[in-house]
Amino acid sequence: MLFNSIEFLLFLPIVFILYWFVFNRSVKLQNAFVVVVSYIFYGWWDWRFLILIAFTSACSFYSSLLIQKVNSTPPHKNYAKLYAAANIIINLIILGIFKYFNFFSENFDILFRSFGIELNWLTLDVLLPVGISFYTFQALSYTIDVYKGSIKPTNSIIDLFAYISFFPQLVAGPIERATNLLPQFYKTREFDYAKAVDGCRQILWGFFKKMIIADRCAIEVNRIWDTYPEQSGFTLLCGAIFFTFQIYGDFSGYSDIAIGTARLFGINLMRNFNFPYFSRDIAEFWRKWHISLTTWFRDYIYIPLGGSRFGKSKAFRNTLIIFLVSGFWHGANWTFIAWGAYHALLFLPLMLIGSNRKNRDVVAAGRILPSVKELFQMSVTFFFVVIGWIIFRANNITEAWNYICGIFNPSLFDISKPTSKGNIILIILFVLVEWLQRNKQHALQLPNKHIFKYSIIRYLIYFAITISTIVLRGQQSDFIYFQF
Amino acid sequence: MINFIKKTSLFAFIIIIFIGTCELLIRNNKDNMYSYKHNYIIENGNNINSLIFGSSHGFFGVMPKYLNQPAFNLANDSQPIRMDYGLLQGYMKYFDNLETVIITISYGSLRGSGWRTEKSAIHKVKYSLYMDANIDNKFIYNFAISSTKFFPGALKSCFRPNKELRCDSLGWGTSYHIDNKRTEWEGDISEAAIKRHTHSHTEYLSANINCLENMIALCKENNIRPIIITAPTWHSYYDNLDKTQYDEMLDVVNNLQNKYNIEYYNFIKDSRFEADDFYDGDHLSNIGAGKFTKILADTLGI
Repeated sequence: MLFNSIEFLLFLPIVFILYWFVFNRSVKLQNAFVVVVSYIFYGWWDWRFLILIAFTSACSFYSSLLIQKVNSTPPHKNYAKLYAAANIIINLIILGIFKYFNFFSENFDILFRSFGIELNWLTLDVLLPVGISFYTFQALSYTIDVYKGSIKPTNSIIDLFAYISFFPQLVAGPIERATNLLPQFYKTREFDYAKAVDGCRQILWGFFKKMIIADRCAIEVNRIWDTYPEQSGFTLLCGAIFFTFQIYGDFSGYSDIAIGTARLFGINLMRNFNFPYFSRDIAEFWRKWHISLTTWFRDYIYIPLGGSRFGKSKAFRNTLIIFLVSGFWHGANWTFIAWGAYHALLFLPLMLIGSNRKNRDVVAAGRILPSVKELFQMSVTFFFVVIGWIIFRANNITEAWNYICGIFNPSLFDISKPTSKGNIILIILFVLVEWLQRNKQHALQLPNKHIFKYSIIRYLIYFAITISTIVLRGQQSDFIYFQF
Repeated sequence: MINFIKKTSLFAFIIIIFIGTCELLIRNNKDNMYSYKHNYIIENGNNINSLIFGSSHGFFGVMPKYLNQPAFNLANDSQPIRMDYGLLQGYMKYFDNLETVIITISYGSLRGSGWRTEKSAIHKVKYSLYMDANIDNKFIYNFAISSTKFFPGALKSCFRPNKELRCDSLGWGTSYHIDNKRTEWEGDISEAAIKRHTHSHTEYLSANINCLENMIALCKENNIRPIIITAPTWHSYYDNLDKTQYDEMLDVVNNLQNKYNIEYYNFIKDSRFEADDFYDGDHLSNIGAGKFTKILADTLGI
C-alpha cells in the first residue's frame, strides 16, 4: 500500500481508531494488531511477499532464542556464533537470490565470455519484494544485537514480528535498531497528544515533499533523461538538480510520513534525514543523509572490521568497503557501486587531512544567513552531490558519463530554452523553508513566537500546505527507495 | 485523545469541504468542448446522419458543414480507437437516423497505448466527467481531483470568462487556422510528430484492433455504414514514416476490409493537397480541412 494513495488515506484512520480504542487493553493485543495491519499493508502489493517476511522474522526469532540458550550453557558458547552466522547467511541468501542473483549471473557470464567460455547461466524471472533490503537489515540488526548481548532476545514471537514488520517503516525505513524499536513493543503505548500532533505535522510535510517536490520534479527529470542526448548543457544541469530534489523529496518525504505515522501510534523512530543539502562537506552530508543506513553500516560493518582503531590504512580500507557496500545495497547495478566509489573518493581525502569529523553543528547556527565561506562550502558540496546523483540515476556507466559530458560544454550557458520555471520557483521556496527550519526535526515544527504563536496563522499554513499538496501534486508514483 | 480526534476530524472536514466545492465547480462548468459535444448529441442525436471519429487528424481534418447530410465531428486530440468505441457505444441510444460512421485511422493509431497508461488520466477524467464515458470503469475517474494535471487547470478555468470551445458548432476543431501556422511546421514539428507516432513495440496492437473490430461490429448491428479513412499528410511527414509500422496499419485495415466488407480510403499521400492546406506535417489547416471534406463528400457520396 502506498502512503500517497486513497487506500492509505482510509487505512490509517481506521487502524488508528482500532489501535487506541479496541486493541489498547493489553500490550499483547496491541502488538498482535500491529502485526495484522502491517501484514495487510505489506500484502497489499503482493500477498506472496508475506511468506518471505514471515520466514525472515521466524528465522531471526528462533536463532536468537538458540543464541540465548547456548550463551547460558558455557560449554556450548561457541555455538552462539554459529547460530548468529546461520541466520545472517540465510537472510543474505534470500536477499541475494531476489535482488542480486541476476546481476552476478549476468556479470559472470560477461566475464567468462571475454575468455571465450560460454557459461549460459540462468537468470531468474522473479519479482523483487518491496523493501526487502530494509526489513532484512532490521532483522539482521536484531540477531547481531542479541549475539553481542546488546539486547536480550524476546520470548514473544509477536513482538519480534511487530518489530520487523511495523508498517510505517517496513518498506523504506528508517532502518531501526532492535535496541531502539523492540523495547517499545514491550510496554503498552500511551497516547501522547503533543507527540501525535507533531506526528501529523511531520506527515503533512512528508506528503508535501513527496507529492509536490518529488513527483513534480519527476516529470521533468524523466522528460530530460529520456532525451538527454538532444538536450543542452543547461537543461541537463537542471535535470540533474531536479533529480537531486526528487530523490530527497521522495525519500525524506517517505521517512517523514513513516516517523510521523509511528508517532501517532506512540512509537518513536530514529531520524533519517537532517537537511543534508545544507552540508559543508561530504562527511557532513553522510551524517545527514539516510542516517539509519549510514549508522547501520557503521555499527555492523565498519566497527566490526576494526573501524579506525588499527591505523589510517585500515580505516581507509574500511571506509572504502562501507561506501562500496552502501552503493551495492541500493541495487544490483554497476552505477550504484560507482556512486558509492565516487562518494568514497570525495570522503577519503577528508579522512586523510583529518577533517571528516568537522562541521558537526548546525550550519550558520543562530544566524539567518550563512557566511560567505559556509555558502561556498555548501555550494561545492551540493555540486558534488548533484554529480553523484547523475551516476545514481543513470541506467549504466556510459549513460552517466555521457550525461555529465553533456553538461560541461558551451551550451551550459545557453539559457534560451528555459526548463520548468514552476519547478525552479517551487524548489527555491522549498529550500528557503528548509533553511529557516534547519535546526528543527522537520520543517513544520513552527516556533511558538512571532506570528506563529497565533494558532490561526499556524492552521492557515497547514491548510495552505494541504490544499496545495492536493491541488498541485505531480503524477502519483511509487517511492524511489521501494526498489531497494 | 478525543480532543486530537476532534481537531483532526475538523481539519479533514474543512479540507473535504474545500475539495468538494472545487469538484462541484468543475463538474458544473459546462463551458468546454466535451460538455458541448455531449449536450449536442443528447439534443440533436436524432438528426445526425454521419459521425466522424478519430484523433486530431479527424478532429481538425473533417468539417461536417461540407458534408451533404447532417453530420457531427466526435473526434478529438489524441482520441484513441478505444475511446471512439466507448463514445459510440454510450451515445448509440441517441442516434435513430445514423447512417454513416467515419473512423479516422492514423499511422500511430494502432500501436498507440490507447490511453491504457496512467499518464492518460487527464483525458479519461474529462470524458468521464463531461461525456459520461468512463472507458476504464474506474471509480476514481468520476472525480476531477483524481487527475493531477486536470484539476488545477479546470479549477482555474471556472473563473475564466469568455472561454473558447476549440470547436465549431458541428464539433470540428478550430485551433489549426492557417494564420497560426508556425514557420518550422515542415521541419522540427513534423519530425517530432513522427517520433511521437512511431512505436517500437506492438504491446497494444491486438487490443486496438479488437476495439476497431468491435466498433465495426456495433455499426453493422445497427445498420450503420462504417468507413475507415486516413487523412492527408505532407511529404515531410509521410516520407519519413517507419515502413514496418505503416505497412502493418495497411495490412490490418485490408484484413478488416475483407473480413467485414467495409470501405477504406487512404489519403495519406494525396497529391491534391498543397502546403497551404496543412497546418503542420500531419494536420490539415482550416483551408485543407474544407478541401478534404468536400473530396470526402464526393468520394463517399454523403
